[in-house]
Amino acid sequence: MGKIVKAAVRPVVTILITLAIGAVMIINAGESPFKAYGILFYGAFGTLTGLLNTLAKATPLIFTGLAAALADIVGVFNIGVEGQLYLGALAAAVVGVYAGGLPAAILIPLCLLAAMAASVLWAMIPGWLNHKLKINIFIMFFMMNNMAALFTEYLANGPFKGNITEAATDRVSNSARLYRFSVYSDLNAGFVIAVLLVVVLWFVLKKTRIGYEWYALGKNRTFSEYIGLHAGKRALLVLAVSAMISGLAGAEQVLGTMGRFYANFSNDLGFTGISIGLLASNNPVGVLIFAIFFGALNSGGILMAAGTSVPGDLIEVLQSLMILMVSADFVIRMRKPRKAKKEGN
Amino acid sequence: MKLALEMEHITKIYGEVRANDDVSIQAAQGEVLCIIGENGAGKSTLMNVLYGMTRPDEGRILLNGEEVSFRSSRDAMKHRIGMVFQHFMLVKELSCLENIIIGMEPAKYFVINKKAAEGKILQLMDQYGMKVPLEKPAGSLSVGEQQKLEIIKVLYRGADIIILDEPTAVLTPQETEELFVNIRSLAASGKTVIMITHKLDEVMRVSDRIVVMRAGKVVGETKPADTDVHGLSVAMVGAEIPPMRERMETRKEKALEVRNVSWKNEDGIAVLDHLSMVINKGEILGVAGISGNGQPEMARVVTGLLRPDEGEVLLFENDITAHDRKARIEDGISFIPEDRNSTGACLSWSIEDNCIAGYQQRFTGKMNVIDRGRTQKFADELIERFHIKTPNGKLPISSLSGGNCQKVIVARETAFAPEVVVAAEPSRGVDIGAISSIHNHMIELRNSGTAILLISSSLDEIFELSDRIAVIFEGKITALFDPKQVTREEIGLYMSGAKREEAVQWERS
Repeated sequence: MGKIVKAAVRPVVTILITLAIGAVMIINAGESPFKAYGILFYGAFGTLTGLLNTLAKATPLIFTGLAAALADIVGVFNIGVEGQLYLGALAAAVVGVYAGGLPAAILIPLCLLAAMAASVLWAMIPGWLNHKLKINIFIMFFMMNNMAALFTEYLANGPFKGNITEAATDRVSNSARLYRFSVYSDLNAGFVIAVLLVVVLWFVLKKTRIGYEWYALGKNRTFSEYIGLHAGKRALLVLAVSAMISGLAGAEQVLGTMGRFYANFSNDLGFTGISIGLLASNNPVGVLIFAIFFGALNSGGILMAAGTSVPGDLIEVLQSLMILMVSADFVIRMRKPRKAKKEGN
Repeated sequence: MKLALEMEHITKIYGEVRANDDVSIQAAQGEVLCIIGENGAGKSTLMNVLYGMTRPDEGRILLNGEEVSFRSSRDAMKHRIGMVFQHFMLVKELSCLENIIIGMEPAKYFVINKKAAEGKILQLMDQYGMKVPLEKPAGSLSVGEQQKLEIIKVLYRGADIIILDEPTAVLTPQETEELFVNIRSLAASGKTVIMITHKLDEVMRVSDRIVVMRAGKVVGETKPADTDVHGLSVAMVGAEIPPMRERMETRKEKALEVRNVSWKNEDGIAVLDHLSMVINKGEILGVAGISGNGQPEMARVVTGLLRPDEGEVLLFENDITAHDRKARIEDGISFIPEDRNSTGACLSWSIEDNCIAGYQQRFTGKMNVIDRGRTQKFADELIERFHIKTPNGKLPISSLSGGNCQKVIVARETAFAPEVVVAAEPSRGVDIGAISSIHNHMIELRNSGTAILLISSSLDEIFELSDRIAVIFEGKITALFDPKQVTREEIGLYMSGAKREEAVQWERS
């Protein structure tokens, strides 16, 4: 219990500071922060539809948050979540469109598999180059994010273009759609998959030998080799799992929320996921909580903008502030070990 | 004799630790003062205070009767104090001459006057009988010569008080002798030499006076004539050391064999060069050598962390060259690595998690779940058996002292009845109490039939533990001795490469 409290201090403080800075801006807009945040909270959790929307907005973030956290645990900063998500989304859409005749029980798993496979292949390009040639993986991921967005845009505008004016595919067949819980909300079975994934990853990480070894790999590579791991190969394997989860995020958006692939749909789902992973200190349960928090900001923000004179952009400001603070915290943590030089004779 | 240095009531507190607690020492002109103590006794802190690298919380320093205060080591140098660190501060690419004058080049209009410097250095080298080739790059020198270069550098800066931090740690016996001659001649010409060490027999030979420190305090002061090695060690530890365990007769059966192993590093240098060796069951094979002759690579080849370019590793006549680290752990080859902080332990983990490292497979049940009940019991057992000083196993291993941390590693690596233990520098940076417990445990293992490969830069340790002593030089075993029939000096000749056998006879000994 004490451990949970200790782990919660940092993120809770981050949230409070963010809300406090936001309060200043709300006052500046001539509103009471209590009223504005009250409406925000009510919009996010106060009604059933609001709650469902919160969870719907949280769903892709749970996936991307888990993907980032998992890679970070083994010491790979997977900044390529965003790009992997695009590839996964497009693959799911293509299978959902062109294999649409299959029954749901086959088609949905097939779409998910295609999404995961595409993301893994995409992530393995930098992964493999890094493993074999020691090319900086961070820069490769970063550049490949742009490539992924442009490449999928091209595909959605060219070979896979649907009967629609925008750069998008056709609608996937109805049997490829994930079950929706309500007609008023985008919340779908993807959320259940996300929560299951949280449970499974938490179990693997905290309870099993596999988790033990992954943590060893992330903490200290030399040590992990000493205890019998092939560090490079193992990191590559975990990166592949991380990419699969990114792919699922894209698949959920296509099969559950949008119904088709739209070019550039993501609006930084991947990057937000990275922030969530950091906020949660890579703990899967923490990822779930923070993803829901971010989802609440998004879904409650609409009501806040409608019910007060505070512009809806505040939500984006709040999210950016939080990301800023997380990155500051991240930099401080990265720098610390150098200072803590040991006294010795 | 005139007092050159007085440090009075020095107290330095780091957090909750009183690294120096009311420490007072004096040193006279022309005196060799040895400061001895275990790790963490406060020797280095005291010297850091003297050399201006940290400021004391209390106390004062007097030089030739005058109080001084240093803001930095530059200040200390100005007051004619010089320090030679354990890790040399040389620019390998620059010549010896350039290394000596760096930072205080005699120059006119931005042109360095090397001739003037050279004259002064030659005179210094002549006066103290220390020679280094001035025109050669510092990196091409042997470790002993590099140390001489460091001392000359300090003299060139006009030091009257010279601090030597663990100067013999990296030297061969011959180089150590030479260093002691140099130290004596420095003292004879009126310099004050302060030497930090924990090698007691050397202290007995070189010092005029000995200060013993323990837990931040000075606990004794004596002269070599009034004490002996045993007395010093008791003063250092504050307790009697248990006697060495007896060696039992063991059956000679080949356990591990390394045949003609070679390995080149990224620069194409043959770090291991057709290295061969044999270790029998119930035997400790000590490998002596100057660091940088392929010791870590040898350990890594045996333990499966390094795939050799050619050659074989055999365990009980089975070729295990292709076995990776995981397979070798299962083969029963355990490893006490030379660097416990970066290899042997995961510092941010608990003691308990470190206790199962490498053997995590043994503690899993269904679905790979780690059985926390068993790991806790196991950690508690190790803690009890090895007297590891900790309230419980859930604490991070970084909360332990170096000696206790090493005990965790030794305990773990010997817990599952290994066939072969590779122990690299098992007592480096460990206090005497822990060394004695680790050594006794290794003898016990040996008696029970384990084959032990002991790689150590401490000849004391090698002589104390080994059934046979091998010397490694430039990646090759160049000699094999019975410790009862060889002297340190003889081994030193092989360590430095002055002598070598082309074909070492491993069978029948």
